[in-house]
Amino acid sequence: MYLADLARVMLRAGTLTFGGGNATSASIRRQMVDERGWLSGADFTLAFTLSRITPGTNLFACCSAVGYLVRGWTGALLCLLIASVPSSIVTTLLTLAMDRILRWPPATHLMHGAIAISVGLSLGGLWVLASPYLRQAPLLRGIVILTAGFALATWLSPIWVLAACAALGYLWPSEASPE
Amino acid sequence: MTQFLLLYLLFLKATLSSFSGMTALPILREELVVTQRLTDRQLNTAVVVGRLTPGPKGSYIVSVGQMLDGWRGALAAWLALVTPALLVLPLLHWLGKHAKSPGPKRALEAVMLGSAGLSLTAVVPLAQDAIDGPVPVLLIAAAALIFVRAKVETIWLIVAGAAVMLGVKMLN
Repeated sequence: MYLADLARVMLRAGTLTFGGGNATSASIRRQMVDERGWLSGADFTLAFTLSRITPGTNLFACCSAVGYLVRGWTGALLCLLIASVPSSIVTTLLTLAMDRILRWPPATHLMHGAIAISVGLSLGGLWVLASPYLRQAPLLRGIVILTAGFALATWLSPIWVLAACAALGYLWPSEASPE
Repeated sequence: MTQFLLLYLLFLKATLSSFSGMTALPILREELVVTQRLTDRQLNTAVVVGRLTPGPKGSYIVSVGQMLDGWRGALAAWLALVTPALLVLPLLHWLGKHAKSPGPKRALEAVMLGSAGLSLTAVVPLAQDAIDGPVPVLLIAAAALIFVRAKVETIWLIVAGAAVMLGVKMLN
């Protein structure tokens, strides 16, 4: 696998995937684990979970971790740059155009539709990321941890929620799990 | 240069103290809106821009940077977004060695599921914002289903959703 292939996959996931970090992470998983086999599911899980306990934007940490696992430091820096630069340029250009866009009456409706789709994509991304564990790990464990995450997040800071989930998973009785 | 560095440090403070997409927002509001360098409307517009562009929703920080100091501000914000990302590499290097043992493996899977639960808490308010009738509900459901079932570039779903919503509003 060449750096150019890695760059192409990351560019596609980082620039063409809307719906936030979950949809983009799900897209990276599909491309690198399911379609190309560059990473095992366990490696992706490691990259994704460590990115969640890294301060800052989780998606960029996940891209760096995935790049590192595939091609070392060069891969990490390449993935980080490719995932962040084009989307940041698009963000800057849209900010510049926003005043003009908002003065155009149909823009509100267009944005409303786009945001609804973005929410759906985010939910779809969540399902793609979590479903291997919900399907193959015993259902009860999956539901308990997912619910704990959801419930705890309403009053605890994210890092403590994840720490509680990690402790729950660590202490849960051993059983077969995906990969 | 000093202005650039100050902006970078301000954004870095916000990103370093957050562990998910929008958690830096209260810090930015306190630093920028309360001190009247930015209005609430501008901050909200930046959040909308972040939702409409590819990549993480947290990229609204780049939009905030652009509003504060043009391309230089956007560059400072981008740098502050990517700097903490590299902190994952030492974690990966040291913790990766133990990841295959049963206990840590179960802990990692639990964090994966826990983050899904955590992310749901972030999606719910976005959904509440978007839903004002049956059409957005249908769009959300269709987008989620298509993303899971088919390999369609999400940009086309965004275009289709925007067009459907415009069509429905014009018919009404």
